[in-house]
Amino acid sequence: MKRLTIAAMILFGATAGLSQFGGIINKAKDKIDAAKEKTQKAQDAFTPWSPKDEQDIGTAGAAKMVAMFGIIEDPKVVKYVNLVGSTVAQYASRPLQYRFAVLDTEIVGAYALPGGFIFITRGALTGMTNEAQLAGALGHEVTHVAERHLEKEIRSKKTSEFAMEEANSTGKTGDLTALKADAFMKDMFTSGLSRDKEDAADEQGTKMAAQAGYSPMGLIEFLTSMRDAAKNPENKRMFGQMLSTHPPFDSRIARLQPIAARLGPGLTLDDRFRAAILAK
Amino acid sequence: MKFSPGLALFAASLICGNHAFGQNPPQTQTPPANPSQPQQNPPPQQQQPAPQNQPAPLFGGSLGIKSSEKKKESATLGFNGIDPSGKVDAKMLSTSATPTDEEKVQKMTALIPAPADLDAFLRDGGLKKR
Repeated sequence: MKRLTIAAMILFGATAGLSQFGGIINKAKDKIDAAKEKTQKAQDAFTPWSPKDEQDIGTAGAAKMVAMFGIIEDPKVVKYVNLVGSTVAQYASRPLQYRFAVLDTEIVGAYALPGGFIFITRGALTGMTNEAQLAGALGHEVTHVAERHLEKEIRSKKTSEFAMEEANSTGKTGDLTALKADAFMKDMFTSGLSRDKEDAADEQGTKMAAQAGYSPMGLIEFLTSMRDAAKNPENKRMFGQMLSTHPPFDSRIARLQPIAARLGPGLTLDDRFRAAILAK
Repeated sequence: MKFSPGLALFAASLICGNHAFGQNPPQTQTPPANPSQPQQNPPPQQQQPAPQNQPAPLFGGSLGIKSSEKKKESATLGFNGIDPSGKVDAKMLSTSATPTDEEKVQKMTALIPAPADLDAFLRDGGLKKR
């Protein structure tokens, strides 16, 4: 009888154990399935826009940008900024018609829109002292466009204004491109890009400027000027937008310094910058 | 063969114990960071020395460039539609483009430098053509 009891106990223990083991297998299977689904969702999250979509959304976004801030129409400045931008864009990872304009606003910033529309602000130009700094800043923006950073970012965030607009637009009539561009712009001004994309744009922008022959210190110098000026509370309005959508200046500078050091010296072209931008 | 109750309980606990162990798979061991590894953060090379008369960055100062012909209405919203924290305000974000704005965007494409102009610009500055 005693033996029978012991055998029953062992059997009970083993059965309970096996049933738990089965539960664990099922849980593991569920986890694997969930991981597979997550991977698929991540893959689905980014389907590149067609060249026409990219161009249309960029064009509509650029028009909204012009509507919001106005643009500088001084032909000398517009030509110069386009020449510096095109110099750097020669080394972009994706050939595109890159177009550059100066937004007529005091805020300090630069913006990259799909399709190759790149804006730098009048406020940003006031903080620069040479062409290499402008080249570094424009190189950063060219990288965002070439690598489709903003497009990837907003399409991976299911809660973004753009994603919601896209989801709601099925069956709608009217100017969907304008609606999408509108939502796209809201995302750009409110949430910005992830840290890794900003770091990549800093690095690639600096490398492109150096490949063109500019000093790779350009972007670092500009970031340093912005960091110093942003410390003044009176300048909060100038830098608030950039600080809310970009990593802190100090960490960007620290990350870029060894990269710039490896790239070696280059040209700063102070006089040409002064003649085009600062000359009265 | 004589059954020992202690042995049976030990066997049962082993079975159950293994399940519990299965629920918490062993952590993948990652090698500890090597604290002796030197940080790769060499000081940046000195590029061109800053010219003695290089103007300090202004930020907010005036430039030698003409502002846009006509400031947008939205530009009258305080600091060009920027709230006190420096963010673009909601009213500014809801601005719609007019046909004139669209025309200006079309003009941006027309202002892409011609290859000959770019070549001359590169030569003038001693920059590199790809």
